[in-house]
Amino acid sequence: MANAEHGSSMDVKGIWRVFFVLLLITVVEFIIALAIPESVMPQIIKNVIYIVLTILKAFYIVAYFMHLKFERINLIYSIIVPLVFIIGIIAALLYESNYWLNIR
Amino acid sequence: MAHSATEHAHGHDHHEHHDTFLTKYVFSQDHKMIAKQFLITGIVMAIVGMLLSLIFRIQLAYPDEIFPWMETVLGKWGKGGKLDPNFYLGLVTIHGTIMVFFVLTAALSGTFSNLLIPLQLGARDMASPFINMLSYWFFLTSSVVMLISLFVETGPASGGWTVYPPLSALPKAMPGSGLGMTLWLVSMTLFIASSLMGALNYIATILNMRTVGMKMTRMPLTIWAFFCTAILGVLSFPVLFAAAILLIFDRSFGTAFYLSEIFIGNEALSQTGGSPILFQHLFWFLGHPEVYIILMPALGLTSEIIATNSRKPIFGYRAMIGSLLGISVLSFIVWGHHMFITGMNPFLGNVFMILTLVIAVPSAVKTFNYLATLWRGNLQFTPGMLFAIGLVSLFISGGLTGIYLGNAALDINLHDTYFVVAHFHLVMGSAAMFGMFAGIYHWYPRMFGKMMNEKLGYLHFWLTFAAVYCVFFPMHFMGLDGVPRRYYSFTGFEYMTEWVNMNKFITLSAILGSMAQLIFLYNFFGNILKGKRAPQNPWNSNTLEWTAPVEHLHGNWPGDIPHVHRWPYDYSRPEASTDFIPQNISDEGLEERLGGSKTIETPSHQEIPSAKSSADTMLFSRLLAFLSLKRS
Amino acid sequence: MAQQQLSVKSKAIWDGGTEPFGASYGKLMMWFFLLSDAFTFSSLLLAYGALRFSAPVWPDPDLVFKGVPFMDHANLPLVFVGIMTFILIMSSVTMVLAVEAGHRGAKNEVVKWMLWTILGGLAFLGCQAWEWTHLHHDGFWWGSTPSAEHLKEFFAGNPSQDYAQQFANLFFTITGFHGFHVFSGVVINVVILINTMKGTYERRGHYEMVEKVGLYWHFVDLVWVFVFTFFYLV
Ligand code: HEM
Ligand SMILES: [Cu+2]
Repeated sequence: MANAEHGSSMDVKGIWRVFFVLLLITVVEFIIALAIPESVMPQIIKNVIYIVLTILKAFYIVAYFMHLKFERINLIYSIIVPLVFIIGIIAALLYESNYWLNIR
Repeated sequence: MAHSATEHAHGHDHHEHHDTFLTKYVFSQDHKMIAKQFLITGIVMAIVGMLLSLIFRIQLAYPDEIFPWMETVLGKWGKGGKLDPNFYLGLVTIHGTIMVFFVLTAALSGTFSNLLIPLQLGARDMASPFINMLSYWFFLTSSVVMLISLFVETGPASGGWTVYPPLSALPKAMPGSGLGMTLWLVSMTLFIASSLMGALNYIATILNMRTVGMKMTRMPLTIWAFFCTAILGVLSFPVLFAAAILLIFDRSFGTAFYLSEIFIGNEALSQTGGSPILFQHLFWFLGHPEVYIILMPALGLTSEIIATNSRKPIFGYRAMIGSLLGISVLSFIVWGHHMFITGMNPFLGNVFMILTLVIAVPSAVKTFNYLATLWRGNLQFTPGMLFAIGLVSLFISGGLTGIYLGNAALDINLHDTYFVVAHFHLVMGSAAMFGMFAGIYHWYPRMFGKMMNEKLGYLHFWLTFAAVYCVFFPMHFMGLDGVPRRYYSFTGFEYMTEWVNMNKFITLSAILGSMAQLIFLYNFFGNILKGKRAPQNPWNSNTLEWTAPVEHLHGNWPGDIPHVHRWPYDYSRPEASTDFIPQNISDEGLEERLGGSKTIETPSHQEIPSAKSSADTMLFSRLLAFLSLKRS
Repeated sequence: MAQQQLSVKSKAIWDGGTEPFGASYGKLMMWFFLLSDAFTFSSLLLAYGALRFSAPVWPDPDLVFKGVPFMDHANLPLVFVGIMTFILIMSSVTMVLAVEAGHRGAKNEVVKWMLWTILGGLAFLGCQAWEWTHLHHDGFWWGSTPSAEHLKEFFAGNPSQDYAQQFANLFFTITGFHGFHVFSGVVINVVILINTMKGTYERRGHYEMVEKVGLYWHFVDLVWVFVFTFFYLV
């Protein structure tokens, strides 16, 4: 089995551990959203935290559930590196949309 | 290894089933047949695209004349012998769409990726023959839908091949924005599915199915080009897909993703708050990689053909790979150069300008490497070689103007004029078409087991070459004079009337050029049945596809797949007895050959030693090889 | 097995005749397909981001998404979507468990966990249907927004018909596209479940198909994580 050797790195206990990490991150997001008032933490900071936490969640899903962490490094790179282009278009469009707002 | 063993067994019994007409020619899962299907569908689409362009070229050359046949052929679109202006726009749009997507994207990579990836890598077939077949059938369906859109009551999509909103987003904007545009979107959705399935297959095959010894750095440059092309396709077409989804919603569900502050008559449209620039960003994020999706396979074919027919190792193999990779990466970050004056943030324009000019570097690397490979080669002027050299010429002439256009300041004058038309027809339209012709002439023996007529090939080349330059070169001057593209007629503007004669010249050249294609069609279709039987290795080439039997069989090679011992460009090596050493010859095999026996291990190679190995040519080519090897 | 490890350790993985990524072609195609799909979703979310950024005002998510089933006039922002998120993550977990069982060749366990996964997918779709009806009730839909006096309820500051509309359009389109992915995932999962029960994979000697649909299923979960953040939190 091509992947039998990876199986041991993701046993049932490990799976549930990842689940609890994901749950925990989501709970933290809820606490920030519901329990911390704007005056303590402005929305912009909240947003940054949300995005960081989201990327963290994405990491756990891709690395453990999708098993990418245990694949060969080649595969990891060829999935992760192209995402750089998305960052490029995000940067361009955020800059653009700000400009649209200014000329609206 | 139970896993890959079963995979293998699976692969084998797959090849042994019996063929009916339907499974052999129609629902074939054999990559060689699928390649031919792509090619022939592509040729049909190219003929349609060419005919459309002739109609609108005639309109541009003779804007005031009455042509009774127009009414006969076009019906209500040619009322009274004059072309309908809306239909003119439809013709331009569908011509662009067909040529860009259906001919130069799908038919070019579809044909040659399918044919060459398994054969040149030493694989029995594509990774997933079934998905490969689906890819063709989606392509065929999308072609049919696109052709049907020509016949709808309100005309085909007419907003240009870039389908910018609002013309494409408001069904009432112009006649072609109605059903024609809907069909365009349906067709493109199918097309994207097809190209995705094809590209995934190519990538998986190239990664996993190379024969023993076929390192990545021993792959022919064709395969490298197809590989990069497939990657570009996988990453850029989904963005067009997303753009198309949003467009469909704007058209049919009353959303306003791309619509902002539009007035129809005096009334404000209720759909507002979006941005048409958003569409342009998404479109060109695909659009620029797309032009390289078109060009790179042609460049790959050219590399192979030029090296083979110069009887020289390709100059700078690794630099060629590097430039392919460089072009691939850069092509994702320059899309804004199509939008300099559409109201994009000027600062962003600067960024895109700089990035755009950088892309000239890898392009230049490729050009210089071609020239250096040709330099002092023992040139064999086959028709394929002529077309390959033609590609280099066109790539240079068209690429240079790209650098002008890449300057945001110059582009203010040049954007949307005939200068742009000249640029992309030379660098993309004609160059990629030449690459495709080169590929067809070169690999026709492999595809059909027959030879094409050389003399007709020469005639075809020279007429086409002359016509292409006569058609597109003068457009530069028109563009510099400010003549805009996509105009129905130039008689309404005083300053443009002086160009009417030029337009006549262009149109006549275009008609001549189309005639030349008849020669090609005759040569192509005529020889499928009647042609001379192809020898095993007509061009004395090194790559693996020429070791497979001339008559196609499922699984490509009888018996074992050849192993690979060297890179594909061992031409004119001084230590060899012939001026080429196929990739499957090991160093021991080479010594055996030198030791006098001209037969090599497997029987299918018996015909390899070429007619050209007479003593004097050998000496000559060895000398040249010696010189050029020292040089590189 | 031993052979495999040998070829991993030696530097020859790129020499041809091997699988350089240690993954079968089918898995590679699934991965690259998902990469491609990631670009589709990113483009959609990007369009959302650009349109929202260029808007002077935007509905406040806490005021829009505050309903919970069976609790009329509830004012509990995020609670319901929290439940949806939990369901989807749970179904991801059961999917990994199915894959894990597949590695051990435990057919009955695969069946069990696939069933749970399908159930999770259906539950998620049900929740989404409820969420859509709820918003529809409020007056949001493609091309329609709540009436002017109701609109105030959804904005923290000045209400705007145009941008409420823009919000509704984007919300329904993007969650709809995601929901469509969930739906296709459920269908594929059912097919795989049937094949498992018929013993197809047992005969084949491996459960790689389960792994491949697993990848797809987790991807759908992954996209939801982003949709959740950008529509409900930010
Ligand atoms: C040296 C490299 C190149 C540069 C710097 C360059 C630059 C540009 C620029 C700035 C434009 C926009 C012109 C305008 O609309 O005002 C343009 C248009 C275009 N280029 Fe290039 N280009 C290059 C090479 C290529 C290649 C290799 C291809 C195709 C294989 C290509 C295909 C096109 C097409 C199709 C358009 C026109 C699209 C349209 O508006 O319909 N270009 N190019
Ligand atoms: Cu471009």
